[in-house]
Amino acid sequence: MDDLKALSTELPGQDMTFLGDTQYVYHCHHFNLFHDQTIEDALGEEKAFEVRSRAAQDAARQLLTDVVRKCGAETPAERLQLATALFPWMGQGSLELLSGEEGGKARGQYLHYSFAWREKYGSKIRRRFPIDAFAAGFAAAATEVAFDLPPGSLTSSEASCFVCREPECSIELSRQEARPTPTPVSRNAIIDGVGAPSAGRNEDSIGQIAQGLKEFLIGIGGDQRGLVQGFGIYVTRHLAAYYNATAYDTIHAIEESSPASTPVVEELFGESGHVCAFYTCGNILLSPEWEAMVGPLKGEVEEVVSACVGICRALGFGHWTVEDLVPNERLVMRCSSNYEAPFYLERYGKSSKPRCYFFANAARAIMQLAHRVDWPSRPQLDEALYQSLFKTGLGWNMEQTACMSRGDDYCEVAITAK
Amino acid sequence: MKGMTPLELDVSCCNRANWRTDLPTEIDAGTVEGRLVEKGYQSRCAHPALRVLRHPEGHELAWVTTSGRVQIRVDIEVPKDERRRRAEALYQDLASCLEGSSP
Amino acid sequence: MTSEFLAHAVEDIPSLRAVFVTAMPDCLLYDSWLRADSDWKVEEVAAYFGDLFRANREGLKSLGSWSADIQVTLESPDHLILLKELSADFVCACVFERGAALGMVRLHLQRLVERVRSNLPKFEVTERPRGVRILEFLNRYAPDPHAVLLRISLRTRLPLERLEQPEDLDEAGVRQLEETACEILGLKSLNL
Repeated sequence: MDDLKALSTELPGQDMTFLGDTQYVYHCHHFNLFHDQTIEDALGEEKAFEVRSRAAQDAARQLLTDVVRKCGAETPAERLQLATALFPWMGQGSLELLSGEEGGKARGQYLHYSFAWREKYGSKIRRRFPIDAFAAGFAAAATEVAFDLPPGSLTSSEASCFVCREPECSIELSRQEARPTPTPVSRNAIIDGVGAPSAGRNEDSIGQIAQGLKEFLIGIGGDQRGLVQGFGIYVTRHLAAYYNATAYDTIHAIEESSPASTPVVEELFGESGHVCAFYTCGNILLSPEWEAMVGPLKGEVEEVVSACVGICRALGFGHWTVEDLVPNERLVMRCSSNYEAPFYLERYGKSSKPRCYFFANAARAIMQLAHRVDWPSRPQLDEALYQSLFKTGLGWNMEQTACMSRGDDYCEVAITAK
Repeated sequence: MKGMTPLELDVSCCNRANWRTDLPTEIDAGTVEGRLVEKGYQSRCAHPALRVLRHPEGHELAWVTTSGRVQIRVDIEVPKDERRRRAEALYQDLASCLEGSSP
Repeated sequence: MTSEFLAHAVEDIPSLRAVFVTAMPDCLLYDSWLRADSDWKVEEVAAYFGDLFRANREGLKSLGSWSADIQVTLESPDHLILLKELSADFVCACVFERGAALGMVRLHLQRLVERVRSNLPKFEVTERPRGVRILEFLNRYAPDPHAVLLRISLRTRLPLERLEQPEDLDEAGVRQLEETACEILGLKSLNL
């Protein structure tokens, strides 16, 4: 694991984290489940599993190809072992790879998606379809890299899943004619796609918060189950390419087949931004770690906004800054980098419209949290509070006024009172 | 234990997983941490104002030594109905380590 | 019936904490009485108990065991809850303190039910549009209720504006809505 920590680097000034050449970000299980649920709502469970597992396979292959080279893992056994060690470091659970050149199997325990789904939803609803598409794609990629197979030459499926109340998660891998795979979005491409970092309001305070949290986060390892816990929440070090490919491919599919539903799918992916701000930022702000490192929260608007921006930088979301803030009226947030726009630009080319669903909606959620939550009273961050904040009372308009995916020099969002 | 506030539900993104108590600030954090380690807890954080200790079963105690706030984090594998009971057991663990730890 | 009536009807039952009268099949609160120190959300409780009674009824029917005279008893650490059908259109849920003796509770319930039943209005209950009822059911039981309408719109490709007026959905629309509700809840069918 020390090897992997040593491979984790930052893009200077941009608050983006990489493992080797592959970008990763921290996201909690609430975000992960909601994001993937939106793909299923858009495409149906079966197609969604295919889209998700392929995106996972492509992103993991990029990661593993780089990591095995940097760690000097040359034999299939060494490479499979490295992949098996990397998976829990990412907080994805534990994966036993029982695969060879012709495919094979993988067995998962405490796989993040199924474990988290059972925790969050298992007592309320039943699920009939497997959910561990990320693990399936990762297993396929690990096998391809281990045996120097062509990209896309393995297909994966989940034969049994904990989320369907089966005793274990088991994944099957089989050979196929290599499918076309997209060119990975490299670190250099991301560097080319970001803007010049700037300083905004409260830059010193935000920078200090971000730095302190980053030092804390990098030291957190997975437990023996492969789960990563910090600040009282369970997080994944997840691949930005996975989030982006799944989101954008889904949105494009809807734009093509059901254009009238495009605003709906965009709004749901944006909703993930609300989910992240509420659960991740919220729990961090109320955590003992925060209290020890920064101090108890007073709950003032500017304080909460700055705190959330610092947290988002630490989580690898990019160099977000506060350009303007007038409590009860307006927030303008800008970023020279985020994990969405540079990927979009490189993978799909220039967009005719803004594409930073997460950044823009997280900004709106931050404004809501800063104004509508009584932080000193340490409220329970539960579904009832979420409902009251995000279903019945979003009093803010949101407009992406600039976006690097459109060719602008930075991304910017303006949040204004309705 | 005198000075230790009663157990109450704390902020958590998982149902009833986190609980809270507050300790007196004048206790000797090093002594208490040492006693918890002897009980099998593993120390996971070396920040001057923060101790995070992991129980062998995966639960955690996150303790802000400057304010006395302790968050008891029950592992999420524990069924929801049992989380309070488990938190109470961890609370008792902590209480037993506090005896005689005030300067 | 007014809450004053209920307040009077429960006067001689010291162990009683609350009464909820739910109009079926829509599980809407018709009337309620709460002891002064309660802070329960009466509409929600009435709706959930209505669903519970209906589920029990359907379960018993599937066993060939249904009778209009059944009673559902729930025991929790804090409360004893009894549900009984008042008529085809109303269900009554009574919440007692846990320590109350079950025999006394049943006696109190019987008397209370007789009083309440005799004062129920006699009117023709019109079933509300199925689309409306499905959406209400989803809002009660679907995870992430803040996103339910968006999720249904995306799954069905029905425009949000149509889903915001579920009473106007045609047969095909209601069928799509119902199938989607089953997908979201992981159910084979909705017993509404």
